[in-house]
Amino acid sequence: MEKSNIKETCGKILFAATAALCIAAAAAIFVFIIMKSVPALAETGVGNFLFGSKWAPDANDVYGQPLAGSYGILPMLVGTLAATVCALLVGGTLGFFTAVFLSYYCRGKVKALFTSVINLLAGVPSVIFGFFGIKVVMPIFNTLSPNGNSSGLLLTSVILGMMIFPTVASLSKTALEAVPGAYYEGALALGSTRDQAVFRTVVPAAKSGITAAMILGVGRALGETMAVVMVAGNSPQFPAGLFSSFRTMTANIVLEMGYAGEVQMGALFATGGVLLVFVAITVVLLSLVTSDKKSKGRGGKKLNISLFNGRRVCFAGKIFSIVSAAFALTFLAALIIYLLVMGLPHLSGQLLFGSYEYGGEISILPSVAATLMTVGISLVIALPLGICTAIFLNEYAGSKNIFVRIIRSAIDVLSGVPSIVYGLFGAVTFVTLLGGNYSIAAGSLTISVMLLPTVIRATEESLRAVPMSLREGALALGAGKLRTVFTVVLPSALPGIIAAAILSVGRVMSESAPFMFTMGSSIQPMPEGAMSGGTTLAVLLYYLSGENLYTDEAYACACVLMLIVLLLNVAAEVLGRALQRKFQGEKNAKKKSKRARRKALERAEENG
Amino acid sequence: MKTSKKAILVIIALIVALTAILAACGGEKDIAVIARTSGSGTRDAFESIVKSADGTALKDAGLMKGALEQDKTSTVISLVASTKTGIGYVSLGSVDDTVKVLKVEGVEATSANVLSGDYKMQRPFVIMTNKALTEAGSLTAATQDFLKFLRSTQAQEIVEEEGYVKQEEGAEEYTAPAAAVTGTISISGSTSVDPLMDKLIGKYKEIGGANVAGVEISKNCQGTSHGIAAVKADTAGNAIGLGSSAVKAADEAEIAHFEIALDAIAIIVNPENTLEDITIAQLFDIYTGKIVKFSALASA
Repeated sequence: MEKSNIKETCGKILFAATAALCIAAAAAIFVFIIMKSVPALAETGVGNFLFGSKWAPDANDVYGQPLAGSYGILPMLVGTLAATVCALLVGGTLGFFTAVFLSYYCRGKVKALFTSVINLLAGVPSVIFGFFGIKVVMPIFNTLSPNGNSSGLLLTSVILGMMIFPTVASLSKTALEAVPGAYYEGALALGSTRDQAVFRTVVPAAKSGITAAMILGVGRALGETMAVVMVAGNSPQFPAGLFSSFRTMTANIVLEMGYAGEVQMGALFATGGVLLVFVAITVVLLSLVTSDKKSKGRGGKKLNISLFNGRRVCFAGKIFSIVSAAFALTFLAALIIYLLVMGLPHLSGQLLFGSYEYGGEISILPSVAATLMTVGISLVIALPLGICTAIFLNEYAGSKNIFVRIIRSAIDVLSGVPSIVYGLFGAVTFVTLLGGNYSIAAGSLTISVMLLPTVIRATEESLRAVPMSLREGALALGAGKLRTVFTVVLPSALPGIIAAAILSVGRVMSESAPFMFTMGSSIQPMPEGAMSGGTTLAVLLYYLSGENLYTDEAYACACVLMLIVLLLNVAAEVLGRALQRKFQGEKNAKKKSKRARRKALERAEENG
Repeated sequence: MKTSKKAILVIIALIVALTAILAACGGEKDIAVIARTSGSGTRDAFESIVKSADGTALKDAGLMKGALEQDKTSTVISLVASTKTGIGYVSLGSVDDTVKVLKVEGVEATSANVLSGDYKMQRPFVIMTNKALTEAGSLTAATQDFLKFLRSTQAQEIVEEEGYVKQEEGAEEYTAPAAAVTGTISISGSTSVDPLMDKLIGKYKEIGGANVAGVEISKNCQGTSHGIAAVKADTAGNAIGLGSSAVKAADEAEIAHFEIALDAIAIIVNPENTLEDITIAQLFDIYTGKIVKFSALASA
């Protein structure tokens, strides 16, 4: 009795500690960014900075002397808001309806195809989206634009919308599928049409998950940098129309960081700070909304989505779902065909496997190594932390606890923090901590923090889908809480956790902004270890395409990147299916094979 | 009844919107002015060279509002390639056949014209080191050896091979050091010089052979100002900065520098554009927003 009690307590403390780490991470980001931006704010004045409508920095400005440039970010602030809202309109709508389509209007092979399409889209690096935007979408939009070029709000919304689409779609799908089948059947039994059952019963029941999906989408849209920089036009002015050039705050940072003078650098950190405040505000608003719902309990409050009342409207919803899914498929097909046509002819042995020396032929092998190292290190850090936090939140903590609410807010904050701000954060913390040099370790640590919310959210969502009866059964049979978690709950939630891992890998592969200021961005020889600098494939792609000297190699590199993402998806699909057969085929978790149980127990021992 | 009324209203609204868009599409479109972001060495050089008829530099007049600003050479080229009325400026070495290079003041952008000074749109690539350390002779042995190579005739050959214009004066032949040199060199600065530096490092390792095998060179290029800051902050005597515009007078006190190459800034337009030649004053008017259509250029 005593021993198991200690074990239980230790387990609980461990889970709580990982959760507390999330708070620490979120707090650290705020502290460091604000610390760096305070001097600049003091120099320019907070009011002038926030509400000044002219951004014309002078790189020669230094602290303590009169400023020659002006630092007003209001145009960028408005630009960021406009782009995020419009992107959510495009990507959120498409994502939601595609999720509905996937969950209720297709099955078998079609469903598998669409699911992998979405996973694939999630892994496409922003740089590729940006290039696709410039080369393919922009010429089409140019014919509509009055000023000859269509860089601006419309183009940005479409590109950004397609970027957040997979996030919204796959998470909404998870939420929709977590709704018990009885809801749907019950609605049908009560005389609803299939469409009504979907849109009036299932969708409202999955509202919390869908909201979470939308928020993650907003986070991605807010934080997106590389693609936006290519399609927004970047003039530091207010967005004056669908085709007028504008600049977002993230773009502002990445555009000027490399060239920034002293005060300008501070002002850019402050721009990051404003982004953070912005994120914090949405999180507070969100927690107000969700806590209101939570207190009433699931299904306690009748949700009136009057939009989806009539039979005909629901039918229209069905049609729209199909159209959305078809659009997503077309978009991805266009993207892939474009990449293959441009890249495949340039794939060569030297490019793939040659060793790279300065001045020699380009090879992507060092980058592949650097990418794998980054993926490995960040998963080793982020997965256990994220899973433990999710367990704490879902299995141990009551929702009314103030600690839990702070953790949730911290996670929301972490997920909303733009990747470029993670880059800034990594540059002032991990890089300094690890001796001041750009290194793979610093980049991996930075991206690990960034992965936490993704892992936590996805794990939690799948933990929630594990029926309560399984836990109750295990407890009734005398298993402790810890044992229940590790032998019953976690194995049942495994497919969801694997999905979380895949999302994470995709994120690491496709991000470039957090690595630029932490790992380095030039083409480099083979990394010698975690402490040497490196370039992930996505950053290499950004670099190769930068000076227009290696465009062909860049497309080939993009192809390789896509291929790896594709392979990952296939592997995950196979693995997921095998596991599903293993665990979900048996209705009763107690009947698990001895090996799996022993394994799980061992893990429990380790953690306990 | 109600829904059909609504539907009719929506259709009418759509038709109005469509006609408005189509009307806007008709006629000649405005010039899409494409620039680099502030702080870029290329932009700095461009805005210093481009002057109005009465001698005001574009730098002082300020870029027009609404110009597209890009942080990379390649995106400038892509934008010009996909926009019929686009105009932009990039390093001549980066231009490909998706865009058309204009003559400036009737002079073609070629190495010969850059060297003779006839082609006005040019800027130097500079190598920078910390002035105090350089003058005190306290740069590391590895750094000094590499700098010696950068000033050599062999380095100039690479410069020419890569399509830039070499600096004629003062190059001597580089020979590998007699004894093995070890140490680290940290290079940062202009992204425009980065590809050239890549080749130079390769050549250095090749000529230096075993005696420079112990020299570790790390290179991270994020912009000229970045390089300037790194060189100023250098205490170990191993930082080399790359610049893509002339060193400013304000920085002279802290930075020792020499020019390694000259680069032409090419003015590029869409291949469908019929324009062949442009004057610097016209560029000034376009980039300040005084001329908004290419047809105005032809008639003027």
